[in-house]
Amino acid sequence: MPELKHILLVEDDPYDSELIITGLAENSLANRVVAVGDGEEALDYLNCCGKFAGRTDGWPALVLLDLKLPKIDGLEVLRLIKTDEKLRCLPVVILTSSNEDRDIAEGYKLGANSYVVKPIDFHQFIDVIKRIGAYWAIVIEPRRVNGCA
Amino acid sequence: MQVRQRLKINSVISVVTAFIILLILSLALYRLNNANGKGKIAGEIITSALERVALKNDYISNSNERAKEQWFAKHEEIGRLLKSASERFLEPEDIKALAEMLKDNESIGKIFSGIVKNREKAGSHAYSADLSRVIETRLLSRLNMRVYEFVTDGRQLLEASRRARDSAFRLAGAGIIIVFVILTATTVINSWIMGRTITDRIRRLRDGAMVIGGGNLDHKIDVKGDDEFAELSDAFDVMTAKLRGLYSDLENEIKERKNVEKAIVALNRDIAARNSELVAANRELEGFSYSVSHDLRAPLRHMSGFVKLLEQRLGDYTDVQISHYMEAISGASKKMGTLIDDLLAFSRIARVEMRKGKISFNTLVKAVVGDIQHETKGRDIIWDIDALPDVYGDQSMLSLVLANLISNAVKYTSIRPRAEIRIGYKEDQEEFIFFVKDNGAGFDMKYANKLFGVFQRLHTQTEFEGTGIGLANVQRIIARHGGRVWAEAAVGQGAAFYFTLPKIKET
Repeated sequence: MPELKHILLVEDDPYDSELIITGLAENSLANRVVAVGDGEEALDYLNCCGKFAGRTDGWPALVLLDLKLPKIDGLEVLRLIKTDEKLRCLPVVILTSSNEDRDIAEGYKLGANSYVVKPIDFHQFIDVIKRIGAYWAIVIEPRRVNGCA
Repeated sequence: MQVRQRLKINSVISVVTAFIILLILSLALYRLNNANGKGKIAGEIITSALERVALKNDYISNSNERAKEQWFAKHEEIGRLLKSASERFLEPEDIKALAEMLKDNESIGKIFSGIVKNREKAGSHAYSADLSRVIETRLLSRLNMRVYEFVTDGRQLLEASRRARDSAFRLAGAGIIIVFVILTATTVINSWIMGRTITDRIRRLRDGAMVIGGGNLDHKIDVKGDDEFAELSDAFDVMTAKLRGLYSDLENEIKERKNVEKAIVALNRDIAARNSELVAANRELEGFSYSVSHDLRAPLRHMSGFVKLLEQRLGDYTDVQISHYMEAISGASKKMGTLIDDLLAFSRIARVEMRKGKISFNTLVKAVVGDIQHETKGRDIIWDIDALPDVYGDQSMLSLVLANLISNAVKYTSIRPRAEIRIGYKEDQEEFIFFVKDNGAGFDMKYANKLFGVFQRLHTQTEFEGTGIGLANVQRIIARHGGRVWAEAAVGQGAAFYFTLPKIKET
């Protein structure tokens, strides 16, 4: 049975966060979500430092990344992930309300695996979340290299 | 003196010279003729004299009577010749010689007659043959002498005539040569003078022209004189003066034009600056409205989301009010989403760049009506659509206009069992006037001025749904195309919406 890895959710809005986790729950992924509220925390988590120093849960199967984040902006987080030797292979799906051309272009240019615009309709939103979770956390083969944890 | 006058002089001189030569030649010819005539006569006289001698000898030797007669005939001839010679020979020496010859001839005649008489006498009576012979001998010697003198004089005349002929030749030759030399000299001198003058003046003109051509329009050629070159030089100077005037006029005009150009360039720069400001402002506005709309949508999503979750949580419930309230909440949030979308679209219409082109309104209307068919399934709608002209404008915007007006017509005729929607146009010199008429609910003309206001409606949501942005969009779009919108209606009797599009003259 494929191992259900966890998902790193980087989202600053608590309501959106809750809704996303609800959606993931429909595929039984809810208890495997690590939610952080800003870019700095996300990087801390991935690099096993700050308040995540010494974590042992391994690499996430997926990073769900919002763009409009306080402290470190989403695109900057993306860039830092994709230029880091160890972190480059992590799948990053941008999940944002912006469908501006320049954000989409920049996202793909920086190496995002997918760019998803949050649907306005709630049902569609949940549907998209389910599918993303299923695809990246269940269907895909996770990376097998050891990380810091 | 004018050049052509000089040339005329040259030709006159040539003609005159030729004439003189002709004269000299004629004269020479005349004298030659004369001399020849003289020579001929002198020759004839001499020849006749010698023939006469031969005849005398013949008579003397042979007592030839015929010879005697012929002698006298010849003698007469000689007399005649001498007479005509005296008409020709007019030189004093010649006259003298001729006189001598006449005298001699007379003597000769006399002597011969004596000889003849002597012979005849001898034949008749007592003369002794010897006496007659002696007389004859003496007479003969006298005759011979006279003949000799005669012939000598004759030769002298001949010589004289030859000399006359020679001198005629010499005269002609000398005359021709002299005249020829004079002519040549005159012509050469004249031509040389002319040439010098001409080349000199031509060079002055050329130099002057070159200076002027080099750009110095103040230079005057000023070749003085009363000939054609002076005239040419004057004409040149006049032309140069005119050129100067034209040139300075041109310079002024160019200066003016350059100033105007500078002004235009400055204006253009202003416009470009203003333009880029506007573009920047537009872009800012676009970004702003976009992010605002998205930020506004997040809470909407939350609202509808949590209501759904709540519903799921509640599970089965019997209180109808609960679902009513929850519907109200999600309905409200959905409505808000639509309002935000409409507002965004509305603001975009004012900002977005129009892409104008030739558009087939027929095709557009067909497309819109086709799209709307799926909404009108099951309904009885009569479409009465004219063949519409091609127009000039932004296709997507005009498509929106048609979609709005047609969907309005469809919406507000939903109360009728049979809907009649008519789409047509009129035209005048300057514009097309399109209309969409329906037999639907209509409206009170009292509120017509509110029709095109943003979010303004003349009906309630329960009567007909809608945000009230559609017609505001239509008005904005048509205004951007340079047209006008208005409507006519009566309550319960349908409505007619008109809009104009200006005709673009093809250039």
